[in-house]
Amino acid sequence: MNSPIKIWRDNKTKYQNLGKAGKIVVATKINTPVDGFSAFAPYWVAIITLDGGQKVTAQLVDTGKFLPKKGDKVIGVCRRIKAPDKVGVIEYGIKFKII
Amino acid sequence: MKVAVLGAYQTKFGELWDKSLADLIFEAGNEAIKDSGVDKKDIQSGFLGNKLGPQTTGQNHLGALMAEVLDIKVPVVRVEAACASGGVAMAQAVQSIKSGQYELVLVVGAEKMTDVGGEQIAEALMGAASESERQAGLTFPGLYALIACEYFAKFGASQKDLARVAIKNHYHASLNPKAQFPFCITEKQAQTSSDVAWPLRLLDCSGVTDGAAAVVLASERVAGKFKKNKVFISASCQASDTLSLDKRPDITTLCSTKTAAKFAFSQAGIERKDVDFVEAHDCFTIAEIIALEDLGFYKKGQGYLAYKNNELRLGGKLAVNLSGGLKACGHPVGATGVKQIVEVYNQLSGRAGVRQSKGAKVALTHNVGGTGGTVVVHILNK
Repeated sequence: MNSPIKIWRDNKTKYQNLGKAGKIVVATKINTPVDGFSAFAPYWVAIITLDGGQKVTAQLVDTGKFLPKKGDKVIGVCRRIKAPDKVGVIEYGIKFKII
Repeated sequence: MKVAVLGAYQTKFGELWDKSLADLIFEAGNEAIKDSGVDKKDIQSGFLGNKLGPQTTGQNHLGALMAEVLDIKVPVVRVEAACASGGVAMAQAVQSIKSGQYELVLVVGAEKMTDVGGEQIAEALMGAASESERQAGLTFPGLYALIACEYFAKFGASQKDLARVAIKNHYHASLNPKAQFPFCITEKQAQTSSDVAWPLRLLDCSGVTDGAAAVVLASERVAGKFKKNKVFISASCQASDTLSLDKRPDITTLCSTKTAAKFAFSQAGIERKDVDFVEAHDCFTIAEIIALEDLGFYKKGQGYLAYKNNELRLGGKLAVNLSGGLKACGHPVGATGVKQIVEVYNQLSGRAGVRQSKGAKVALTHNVGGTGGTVVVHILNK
């Protein structure tokens, strides 16, 4: 549920991976999305190991026809997370782009 | 103290548009009580496994709903542990008898999933995953697809190996009139069905299912009063792991399955070779392969090879998912853990019809919540 209060609270921590680099551990292509993600489909999601060793799960963006694979280098970028729900707040966060 | 299963019942699984959640609880609960031979007024407590009721039907306070529709004015608790809701409800019921609090308990697992659309049910199911996984746009097929990708990379399995799981379970379901998908499929159909999340195709995934299952459990003392054949629960173990997949060192192993299995075999005092058949949590084909390894029946990375010689089919060395499993019998998520017990009860009581496992004496059930955040293992014997 995208309450404005929750989005405001999460803003304190949700951009910490902006500009951080890492490598793909494993990735899959989602053809059948959940509610709010239809506009992106099909899209790739990956488990990524950041350069500091921390693992994160994130959507990959701007992949085009490129097939993401284990070991590909990525960097955190700011993007809209999903389509706004009934509350109408547009939520932003970190997705990862292949470099 | 031993706990006995006195009676069991499963509704038809499928898209049951004419049945509400209350209708499903009513049918399963009353038929299990009738099957057990106990008087309804002697039931001392109830446990309801349900994951999605509030999201798909708008109904909370489900313990009271179960008490009302079954007309049992006893304590009833709704248990929610994602797709392991039914298994945890079973474990809680067993514990309530072992502790001496109750001697006769009704366990129902019920789920109504088809009242909402596909994207909505996918979003509701993702409540069982972590927030970061939801923010990434993952789905449950997506999460298990990540597991499958890693498994393929490490052990050399392929989509063809996943198809063998689906083909086997559809074969078993073709022998089960209560199954949602009671028909056989071919390798070509499995491998050309639509892409859901690479490498998982439509026929690698369990469906969206309405259904319910119920069992009546009794203490050894109470069970002794009934002359019918009994099935005993010799182990009931639950384990937990991280909610998020990325917090685990190896995503091709569900540590919670290994832990629950280790304690269950110790509790039952038996070895893997003593188990005649298994009802495993095959929400996706890759999940069954990994389950058989983590339960200790096959070495890590070799589970997929067992499908090549049919040893996991009815009549094979270790029959797996004789009901058709979640994949083909159906997966009404909160009901699944109870349905597995119903299938075992029917098999060990010799009333499984054309899919009867001949001479079986010991069975294991394996129920997973999420991607293994919760796992419940039961071992039963006659």
